[in-house]
Amino acid sequence: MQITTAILRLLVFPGLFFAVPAAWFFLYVERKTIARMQQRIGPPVLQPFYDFVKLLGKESPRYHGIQGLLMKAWPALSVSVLLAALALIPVFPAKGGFSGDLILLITLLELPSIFYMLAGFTSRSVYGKVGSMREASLSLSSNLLFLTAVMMIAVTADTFQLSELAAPSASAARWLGLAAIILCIPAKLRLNPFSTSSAEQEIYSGPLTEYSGADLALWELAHGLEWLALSGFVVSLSFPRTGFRLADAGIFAFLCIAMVVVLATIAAATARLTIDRSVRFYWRWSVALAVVFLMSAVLFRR
Amino acid sequence: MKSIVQLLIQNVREGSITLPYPERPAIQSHYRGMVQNAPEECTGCGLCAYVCTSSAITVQRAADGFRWSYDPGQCTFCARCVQRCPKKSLSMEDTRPPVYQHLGALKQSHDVKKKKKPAVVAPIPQAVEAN
Repeated sequence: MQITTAILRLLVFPGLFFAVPAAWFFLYVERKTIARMQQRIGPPVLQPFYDFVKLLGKESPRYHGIQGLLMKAWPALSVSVLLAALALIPVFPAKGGFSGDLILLITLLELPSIFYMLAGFTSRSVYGKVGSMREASLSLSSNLLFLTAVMMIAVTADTFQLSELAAPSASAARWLGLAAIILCIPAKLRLNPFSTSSAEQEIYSGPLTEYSGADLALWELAHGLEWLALSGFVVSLSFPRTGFRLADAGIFAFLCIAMVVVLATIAAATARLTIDRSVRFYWRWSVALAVVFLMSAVLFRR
Repeated sequence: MKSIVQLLIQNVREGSITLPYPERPAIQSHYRGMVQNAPEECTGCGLCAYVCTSSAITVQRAADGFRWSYDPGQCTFCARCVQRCPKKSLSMEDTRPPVYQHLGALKQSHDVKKKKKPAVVAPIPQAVEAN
């Protein structure tokens, strides 16, 4: 990837200028879908933007020393790594990439979850620590499935380069792997029924309990960017390209929004599971599916 | 699983039940609106103020009567005052309180003069003649 292409991807498309409004739009779609399922009107389309601006004007609690620095660093780092992750998503595969960028993308997608955990521990809040521990348990249990699915997709296609993975040669193993990744997305996005780490009614939003103002606004933005990155990752590896850039972008956006609607519907239809049930769910599926994935990776390897 | 899917489909199909202002949903029977007091019935006993847990009703005594005050902004519409009123002078409206913008806008009070006690004339028992 050339340096200019990289910068354009990071700042213009699908980076900062595109991703931030798109993240707000995805947050709107999530909230609107849940509202419609609950027979409410739901927020207007610009509500996530209004929330962001309003939070920017609010005062943040002041922490001194290293704690204050870290409390500000975690949301900013989350937004940064997600923007970097978005820059790697192969919406238009011909536009470059480098060998092994899949590994970098998976790493960047994993970091916000770690920052979220660290934010809870840094805040020294009891609720934050409980939320962080829950996030750690859930992340460990869902990641076995997530990572084996990604590994199977990469090994069956015999490449760790995203632009080659996005080429239209989807196999049965690819679809199975993508289905497993979709199964992990609610845990990664802390959606119902796996929202134990950010349980509002039990532990006051967990690691974000002590956050307010601009830092909380950045966390909200990071959540929208996570939506965009995870749905974009799955869709970019699954949809057939037409060859026309505008049509491809349209199909990509439509499928991403459809995924948000489906996952938000599942979130509206389910109640929050306890942490031990959530972990048990993923381990039960993980062990069985991980074996299947590893066998598929060996059998269908090119 | 089936029932929740059916419920979601029904919710989406029926649309939002939120009514835009100033539309409001229909009132149910036995609706508890604002407390009304009939000053001509009220004796100023203060039982309503005594049972009012949110201190929405106050009764201030004066030399020539009392002042009964009610603040709907503090009222929880529990209806304990209505139940406890010995003269049944309190009742609750069957309409919603109006929308107001300033604190205490719906506050109301009645000045009631002390009622004179009717003169009690004890009947004089008739003398019973002894045989």
